[in-house]
Amino acid sequence: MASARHPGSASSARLSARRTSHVRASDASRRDGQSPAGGRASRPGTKRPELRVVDNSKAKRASEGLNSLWRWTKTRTSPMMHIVVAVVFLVASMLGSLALRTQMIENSFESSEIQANITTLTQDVEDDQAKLDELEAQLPQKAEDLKMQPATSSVTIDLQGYQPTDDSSSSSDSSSSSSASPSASASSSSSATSSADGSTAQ
Amino acid sequence: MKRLKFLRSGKHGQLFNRTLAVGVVLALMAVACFGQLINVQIIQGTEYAQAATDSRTLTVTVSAKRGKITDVNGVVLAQSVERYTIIGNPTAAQEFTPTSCSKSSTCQSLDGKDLTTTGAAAVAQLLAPLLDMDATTIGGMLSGTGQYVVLAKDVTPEVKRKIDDLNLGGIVYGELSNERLYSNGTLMGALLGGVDADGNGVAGLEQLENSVLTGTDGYETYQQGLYGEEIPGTLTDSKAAVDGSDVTLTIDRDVQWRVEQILQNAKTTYNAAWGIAVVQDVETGEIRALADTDSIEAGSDDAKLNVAKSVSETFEPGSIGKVFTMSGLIQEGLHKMSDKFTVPNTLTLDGQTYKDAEEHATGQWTLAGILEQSSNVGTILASSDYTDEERYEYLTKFGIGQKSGLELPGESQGVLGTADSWDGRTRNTILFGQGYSTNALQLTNAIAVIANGGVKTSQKIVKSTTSADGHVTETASGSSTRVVDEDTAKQVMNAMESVAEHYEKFAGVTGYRVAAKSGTAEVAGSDGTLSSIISDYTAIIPADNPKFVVTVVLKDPEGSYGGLTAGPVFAEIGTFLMQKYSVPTSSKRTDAIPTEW
Repeated sequence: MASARHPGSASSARLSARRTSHVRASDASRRDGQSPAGGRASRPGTKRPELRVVDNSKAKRASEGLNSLWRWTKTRTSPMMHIVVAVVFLVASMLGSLALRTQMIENSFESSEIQANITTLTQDVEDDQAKLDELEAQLPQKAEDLKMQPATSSVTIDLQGYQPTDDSSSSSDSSSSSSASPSASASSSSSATSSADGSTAQ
Repeated sequence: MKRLKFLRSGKHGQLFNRTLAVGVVLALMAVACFGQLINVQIIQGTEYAQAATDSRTLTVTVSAKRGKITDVNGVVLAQSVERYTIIGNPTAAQEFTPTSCSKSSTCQSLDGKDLTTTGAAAVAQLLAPLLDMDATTIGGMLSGTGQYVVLAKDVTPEVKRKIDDLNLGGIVYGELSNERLYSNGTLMGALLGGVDADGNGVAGLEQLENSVLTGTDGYETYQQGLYGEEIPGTLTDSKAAVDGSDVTLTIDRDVQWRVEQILQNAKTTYNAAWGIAVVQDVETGEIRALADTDSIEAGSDDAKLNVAKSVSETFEPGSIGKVFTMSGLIQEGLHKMSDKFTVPNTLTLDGQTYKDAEEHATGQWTLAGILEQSSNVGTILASSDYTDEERYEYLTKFGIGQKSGLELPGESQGVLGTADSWDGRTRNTILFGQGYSTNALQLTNAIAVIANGGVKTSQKIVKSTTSADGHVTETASGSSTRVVDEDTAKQVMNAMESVAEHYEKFAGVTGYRVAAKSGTAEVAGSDGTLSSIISDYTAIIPADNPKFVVTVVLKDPEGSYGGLTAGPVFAEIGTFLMQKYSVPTSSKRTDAIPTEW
């Protein structure tokens, strides 16, 4: 195939090959005592023998055919290699398309399966969520059945008049009282500060 | 050529001719077939291909999911789940022969053993344990003619998968459907309402918010195989379904539950016919609880046929109406809360006699005292300069006889006749809440005007809607109107605190100041006379920094008086609310307007 890139050199090589075959033929004929083909009367006085072109070799028929094909393609506008490449490309793309399609179909089967799985899981999640909501809804009733009672009043600590020892401990003190609800209105400024602390702690 | 000549000559000639003739005939037939092939494949090729594709192309609706209804904290009250309707094909069922499990993997077996029956009976035997139905019932349904019969509805996906594993494809299959689940049982039963078979809301909040909850269905166009499955890669056209938006209510499930429980206990304690309670948040106008004593399962037929009592029931408010009268009097500048009156037990005006609920000696009460004692006579005396048009105007401004704006299905807007329709007695009885009717929501909102410093806000029961892509839309607040001045509202609130102090023993909430008004109205009973009683109590808590307005209404309780029956119910509800929302306790009252002089 390397010769395809240098058609000139190849053809000249083949031509030279042909020439040598011709030369060999003529050598052979000369060995047989015949004068060279073309009918040149070189020696005077001798009879001109009947010449016959001898077909070279059956073995070379295949290459002859290929050579003639090559010569033929050369006469066409696109050289043979281009056609080969085009044909190979065409076949390859068809095979490739077949392979891709097959893979696509396989994938879509898989995707349908996964889709079905997702649907199943979504339904399960939905059902479990509904069950959870139902259980949550029964919580107050179950608490009552266990003799728990709803909280009645809150514990409040009146900080009115409370004098903090120092600033840092006052905020920690008011946050430690869990349900501290200092009185809303306070007359003295110190209790106003402590109620402000208490409400931010809440 | 030589061969041909040889064949045609002599005795070969006839045979050759005959062979040729047969050959020509065969060739003509071949040409005809070839011509038809060209016709089918090339000339009409695309047509046939198109027809084939059309015959297996299917457009399937992708149904949208209905939105959820949740309470203000996101607790789910109503949701839709996927269910299946199991369809049977009687014709195919009757031709069914079970395959033994020893022969192939797609087989049917009953309790591990091969089936002994064939046809519809075999199918029924296989389905009976899964559908929890009698085999003979299923067999009967499959014994008819036709190709479509509904065997079971609302079947869980779990059961449907088990039916699929029976390998009865083409005989039994499931169609996707939706079921609406209400996880809270009878909580807000009739208020939530229900949906019909097509999934449309037909009652209550399901109906009110139906357009928001319903999504938009999509569709898919694809080609299907022999058994209906989708051929992969043939999805040509599709539109995604848009699920319905979720609705968040202003109701708090815990408060609703507790209020319903308290009401039920009160109904039993006082032997009342029914009870209604409303809890409204003062600042926002949001309804935190809307309860009655009916025990209706949400989504049941009862829920779909009945309107919630708390929404539809109208009643005469009784002495609570005095609050509106006094507000009007003070706003018009006719009186102040501290004005002094001498109030007898009875009064005759324009030939009509009015008397107070409780016998008393002539009292020396201020206007505040008249409210505290809930004196009908005193109210009429104070309204001597209060014209009919003014009476009507203030009642309307407070929202009596007007739409609440909630648009709840079945909500009544009460009855308030125009000023010229009042007769000589009615024009005075409306001063103390008899002669017009309201529903519990209207009454609560009217009292909330006083709690809000004289401004009437609109009530809300839907807080927001959340679309399928997560976009939250808050319900727009309605318009607010000023009904009375702030100073007027303050004075009225002050007098109402005195009323609450009057009932402190029964209806007080420890640690908090309450502003309240009780009411007892005589209403028409079942015999047509005024034999029934409506006892109501409405309260603003805490009075120094109003957070909630609670209204309790009881019908025919033993003990009659609103303050004694509905009052204690409020006390329980108020205590619960204060504790739940961690409301700071109230400081002592310092500015009481004197009630006596």
